[in-house]
Order: sequence, then structure tokens, then C-alpha cells
Amino acid sequence: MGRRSPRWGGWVLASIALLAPWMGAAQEYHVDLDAPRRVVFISSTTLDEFEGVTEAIDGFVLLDGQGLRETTAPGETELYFEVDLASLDTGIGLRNRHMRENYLEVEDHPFATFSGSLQGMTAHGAGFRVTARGAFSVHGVSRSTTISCDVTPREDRYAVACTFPVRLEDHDIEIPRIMFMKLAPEVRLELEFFLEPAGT
Amino acid sequence: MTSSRIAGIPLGRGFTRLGVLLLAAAAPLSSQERSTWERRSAPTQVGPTVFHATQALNLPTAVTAGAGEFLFEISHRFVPAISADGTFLGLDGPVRYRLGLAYGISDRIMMGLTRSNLDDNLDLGARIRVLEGIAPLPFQVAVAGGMAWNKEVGGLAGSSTQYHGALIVNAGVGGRVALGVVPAVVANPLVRVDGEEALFSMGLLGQVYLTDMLSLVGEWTLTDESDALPYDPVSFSVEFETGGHFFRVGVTNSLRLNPSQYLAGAAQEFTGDELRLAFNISRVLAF
Repeated sequence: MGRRSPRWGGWVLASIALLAPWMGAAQEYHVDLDAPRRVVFISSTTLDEFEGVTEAIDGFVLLDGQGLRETTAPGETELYFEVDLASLDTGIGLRNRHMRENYLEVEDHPFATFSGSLQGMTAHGAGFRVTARGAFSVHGVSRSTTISCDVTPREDRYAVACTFPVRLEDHDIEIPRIMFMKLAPEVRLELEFFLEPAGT
Repeated sequence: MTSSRIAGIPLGRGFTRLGVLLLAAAAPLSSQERSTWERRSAPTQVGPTVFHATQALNLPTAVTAGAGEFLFEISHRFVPAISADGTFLGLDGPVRYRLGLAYGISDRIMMGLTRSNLDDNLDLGARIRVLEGIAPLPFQVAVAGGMAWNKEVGGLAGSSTQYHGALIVNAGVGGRVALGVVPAVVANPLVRVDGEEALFSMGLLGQVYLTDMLSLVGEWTLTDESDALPYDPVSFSVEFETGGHFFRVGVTNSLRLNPSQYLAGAAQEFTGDELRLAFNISRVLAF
């Protein structure tokens, strides 16, 4: 056996190059619409607390091809989620209409969206605590924001749970100042859903 | 010959460089991939909004309480005219009042029980929104009906029982104006008079929404004249709308609050000396 010829190195690298788009291809996950989903906004004041609930969340995550891990390269990821605001149910029809028509103006701005990328991951319990940075848009006003989510592997899926605050005035949402409608200036958003591999 | 050739190009160190270049070129491909995701459902479509509340001072709208919601109502009509001396605009009373509680069986069907202290009138009614759409104007259509017992008149039998039914057609104009017509019929309209035939009426209703909270309401119920109730009920009011309440205050010539009562007419003419103060408060309750 002689010394490995340099040409073998060339073959290996060329093969990797040709296979790279498949070996390292981005992994795409979509929100699993068959699994439980829950998006809640919670308005809490000293006089009243109410919440609006919907399951109408959809979107995707692109990873760098090697699954979610602590060394996932942030630049290789992409996230997009949207929530159908007209489907929010606060438990009172009249209040739903006020939310839709007077404050969120869903006819003009039907979705709340988050578009961004992962910024950091740390091991957390059975999964990861994930930080994502991007643009959160509601009521037609987009703001840069950072959100934190717990992501837990479940077989070939991920269970996702996120919580973050939203200041209504940051999105030009009028805060009712008249009696009875006790909407807090800052509401808390909670999201729970599953991600499944695209195409399943 | 120790190195291979492809198309005359010597392989070896040069081919290694080529592999590195290909690898470098290939790496960004994966990061440039874009999602295949597409929106899988259209935004939720909700029904049109025409009137905001279930009623004006008297006439009903096609709005019903939401499924599982209760709607509590208290209404007052002050018997002394606003112009009467020494009654503080009639607020010193006495009053005709109505208490009511309705329940949304579904988002389209509402049942309610209301009691007016005039004749101790207890009314069990239902309203069903049967049609709605947005073309050519936002519109809603409902049917309503019920029966009433006037316990003060004759107990729970005979001429003290009344029946009423109505078709409610509402349409919105420009997002700020709502119009309604309410053709209705009442059987046994005058419980204190024997042998009165069923009475038909045509309610006309208009509301202008000045802001998200404040609106002006006018209503006029065209009725057949009778000796006891020779005038058409007319009212104008201001409506305040909040998170779960509607509050209306206005003037009217009718002291009759339940459907079988106001659909039969009014005893006083709608003139300056006969106007009475009126108010309604309704509150949505969800448990």
C-alpha cells in the first residue's frame, strides 16, 4: 500500500460538494394543524382580566439540516408564524366585535405575524430554551422584538411553547379609556403548538 | 503516469482545489433554500355588523346574544311628562319598568323572558337570525315571536294572553348608519278590551354611529289607530356602547315596554308636552 494519492482527497471533496445540497439541506417544519394549538392573549388589570383564545396559528421553521441543537447556526434558520385575529374569542360576542372592529381592525390587518430567525439555544429540561429575534407585526405596525420559547422534541416533531409581552401602543392599538372595557396597555401572548416535518 | 486526466486536465492537487471550490460554492445553497409553506386557510370570515345592540329603546334588531351568553336588561319609562311641574323632568316617577333576561342558545337563536310592570306583563319570546350577507349592503334578517301573559288583567288564561310575531330586516350603510324595518303583528293587542282583532304594525328604525361608543337612535312604529292607543310610538335616544353594556337614554311618547304592548300603539302623542324620559341598560353576561 502506498501513500494515499492526493487525487483521492479531490474526489472526496467533490463528492461532498455535489451531495451537500442534500446532506446539509435545510429541514423544514410546519405547524401541525392536526395537533392541539392554542394562542392566548391575556389582558390583566386591577379591575378585570380576560383573555382571547384561538387555535388559528400557522407557519414554518427552517433549520440548517441537522435538527435543533445548541450549536444551530442562527443565520441558517428562518421562522414565520401568523395568527388569524378574526378568530380570537374573548368569551363575549360583543367584546369580540369590539376587538375585531375597534382595536385590531382585522378587516385591514387580518393576521398578527412574527418573522425572524433563531438567535440562541440552550438546553432546557428535555428540550431547548430558544431565543428568536425578528419582526412582530399586528394592526399593520411591525416592531423588532425578541421572543423566548421552550422547544421540546417529540419523536419527529417539536412541541413549542412561547410567551412574550406586547405593548399595544407600540402597534398603534387604541387603549379604551372609558368605563367597563378594561384592556391593559400591555397584554401577554402565549402560544402552544407542534411543528412537524414539512410534507407529512 | 501517476495522475489521472479528465478532458486533458490533470487531476491531483488541481482537482483537490476544484473540490474545495465546489464545496464552498455548494455550502450556501442550503442556507439559501426557502420555505415551501403556503397559507392553508383563508382568514376567518365573520358576519356583517349592522346594528350593534339587540334593540333600540323598543324595536328589536336582528342581533342576538352569542351562544352561551346571557343578556340582562332593565328599562324605565317615567310616567310624568318631562314638562310636568314638580316631577324633576319626570324622574320623580312613578315609572313603568321592564326587567329581562335573554339567553343565546346559539349564535343565531336567542330566547328571553321579560316582565313589564304595566299589566304585570310577562313575555316569553324567541328571536332567530335567519339570513345575513354583505352584498349589496351588509344586511341581517331575523324572525321573532312570543307570547305574553298579563297577570294583572285576568290571570294566565283567556283574554290576558297575547301573541306577537315580527320580521326584522336590517341593513347597514357606509359603516356608520344602520336601518331597520320591523313588520309585526299582535294578537289580542288590547287585553282590557274584548274582541279586538289582531293588529299589524310597521316599525322603522335608524341609528347613526358617531363614534365607536356613541350613537343616535330614532324609531317610529306605524300602528293602526285604536280608541285606547290612538298614536304611533316614537322615540329618539342616545346610545352609549362599552365593553359589555349598552346604555340608552332618550325621549318617547310610549310607556309600554314589552312587544305585545308597544306594538299596539301609544296613548300620548309625540309632542313636546307629552314626551317622557326613557332609558335602557343591557349587560352581556358570560360565565
